[in-house]
Amino acid sequence: MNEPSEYRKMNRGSRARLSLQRIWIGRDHLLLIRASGWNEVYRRFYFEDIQSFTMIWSRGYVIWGILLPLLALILFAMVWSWGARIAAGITGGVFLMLWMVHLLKGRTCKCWLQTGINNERLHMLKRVSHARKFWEQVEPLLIAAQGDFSLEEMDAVGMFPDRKMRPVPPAVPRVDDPNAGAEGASDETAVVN
Amino acid sequence: MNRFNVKCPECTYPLAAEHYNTPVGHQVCGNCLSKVVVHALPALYRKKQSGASAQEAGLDDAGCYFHESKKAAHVCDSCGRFLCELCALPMGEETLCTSCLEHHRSESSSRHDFIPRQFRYDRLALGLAIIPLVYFPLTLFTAPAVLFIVLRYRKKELFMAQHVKGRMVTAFILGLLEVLGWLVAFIALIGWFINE
Repeated sequence: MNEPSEYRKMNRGSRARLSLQRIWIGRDHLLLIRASGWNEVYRRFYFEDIQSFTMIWSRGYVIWGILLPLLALILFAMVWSWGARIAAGITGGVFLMLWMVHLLKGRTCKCWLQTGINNERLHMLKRVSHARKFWEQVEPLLIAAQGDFSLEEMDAVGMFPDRKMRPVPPAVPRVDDPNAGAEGASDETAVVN
Repeated sequence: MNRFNVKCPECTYPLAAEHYNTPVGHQVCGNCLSKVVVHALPALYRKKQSGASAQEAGLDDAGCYFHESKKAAHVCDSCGRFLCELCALPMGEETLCTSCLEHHRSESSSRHDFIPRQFRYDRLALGLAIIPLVYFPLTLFTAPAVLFIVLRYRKKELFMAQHVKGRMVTAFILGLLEVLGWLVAFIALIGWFINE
């Protein structure tokens, strides 16, 4: 089965450590493919399970924005001092070109997709513009599956701790209480009946 | 603080819900000072129906295939078995039973929608055909392996795989050339020994 028609490619894919990540939109889920060597691992995020998409602006944009022209300048000066003027021009030009591309691509970011059980980093979304484009494509599908987010509803549900998740342990009978044993016995009988 | 607040992925500090889904701009994490944009969805605070509350089946009710005493509330979209709330597994738009899900997650299944991982024989074949060229003697062992992999798995259907045929054909041609190269070298060597 080569690329089923029910999946739509979202981006070209991007390197993340030793693997290549790509993301596809399916009928009812997002499919994250992590290819490392000859193995591919698939993670599916169903539209109704996705809780949030978080984007953090990373410092890469500023750091490379400073480093690349500095590198261009240093390498240009170094090669110029050797007397190879054309090579110096090419070296400096390449780094300046990289710097321009970096600036034009816009701010860098890190993105996460949160579900009830995990918070998956989306390594393929490294620029704010790409992340926004991704969200523009995905948001209508998620809203169609879940409806609109309501802050009031969230406040109403989540302002108090969930009592069901933390069951209150039974009270420990006091030793000095003469009726403690009798009460305990009657409780037990009630449970059995 | 709301217990459903999204946590900052960098420092796990809860982010203020007032700034979720703002059309422009960002909020600053109160702990690590990162600039964060949060797009939240209702799944954050809405509970999914849990299967822990499967009802007992009455005399006129259909029972679950796996738990006869429980009332059937769903039908498996794959095998058609009746399922109680406990056994029904919602997978996107489908509802499956545990045995169907297990079957679909295996590589032998005809459906590929649920497989968790996959071995790419096309990439392995191409890798084995190209990488050993860096040190040619290795191809004595890898070239036959390439031919074996291509012939053995040429018809295997791969999920979400593009250009499989192209990779397989390229690997086969390279493997064949490497094998032929070794054959020619051996024949030449034998001929040289005979002449000597």
